Amino acid sequence: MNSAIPETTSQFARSATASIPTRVLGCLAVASLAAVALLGLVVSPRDVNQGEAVRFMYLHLPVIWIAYASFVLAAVASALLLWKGAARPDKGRHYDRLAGAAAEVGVFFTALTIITGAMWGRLTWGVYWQWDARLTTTAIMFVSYLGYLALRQIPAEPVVRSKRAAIASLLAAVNLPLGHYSVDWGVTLHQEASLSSLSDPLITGDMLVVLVFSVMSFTIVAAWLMVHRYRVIRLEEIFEEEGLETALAARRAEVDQPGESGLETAGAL
Amino acid sequence: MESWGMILTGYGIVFGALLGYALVVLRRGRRLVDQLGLGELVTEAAEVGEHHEEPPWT
Repeated sequence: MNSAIPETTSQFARSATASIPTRVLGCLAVASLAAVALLGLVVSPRDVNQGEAVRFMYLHLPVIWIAYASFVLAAVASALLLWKGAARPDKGRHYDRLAGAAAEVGVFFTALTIITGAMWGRLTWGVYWQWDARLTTTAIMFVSYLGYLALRQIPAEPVVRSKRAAIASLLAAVNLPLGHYSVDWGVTLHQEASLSSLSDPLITGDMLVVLVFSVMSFTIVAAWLMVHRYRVIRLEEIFEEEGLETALAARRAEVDQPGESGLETAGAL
Repeated sequence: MESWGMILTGYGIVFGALLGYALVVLRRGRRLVDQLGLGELVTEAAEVGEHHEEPPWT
């Protein structure tokens, strides 16, 4: 019995936010990312026009896909919070956690998008950055969601904080279609979408296979990150609630002992 | 040659950042579990053979 106790504890402490499905997902994510590196760097042929630089496509497209998908998920969760949150027993905290986790993952992948895009741009355009329509809207998207994450950190009543964040998330989402369609609407160095539809893609053959595989792999990675981030937010909420309860208990104990209370002293003065 | 240097750097940055972010999220979760004493709850519950409180995903 005693020998089993430390094992149980260490298992729980080690797992923390993990579960069997997330462990399977994590193993799948690591294996598929290794395959992406192999396919992108070794198997994929060089492009006739771009040469070796085309290998950036297997990073850049999947990460911007994840960023857009995450922000759309955050917007949907935020809309559901405002629409149905009040009627739920948890006052929509589930939607708030979902939006927070999705937005943070989205910001992370947007940063990767900007970095990989700049490096790819240096090889193909000769410059790291250009203030054109697509790049500028992506930068605005990044900054606006950083603001959303900062807003979530401002202390307030949980219900107020989640509603405030949901409104900010919906406002930030206005930029998403502008960013996505900016290559069609605006003057830009950026190429048109390579994979807007699988029925008529601009790329074919091995490159298409590697790209689709890469998109799927990064989706698995993002799903893993999002589940864990959601669970961490839940733990943070429990931690905050416990902290509040402890503070209230300490205050009640002070009131029960009037001689030691600061208020009592102030009253005597 | 210049392009290969840039490409390998790009792959290194992306995979390194993913690994770093994943570790940060896992460590944050683990620290919260420790701070909340959930590990201790598991130990105490195991000692007396009771059901213990734990997150719903375990």
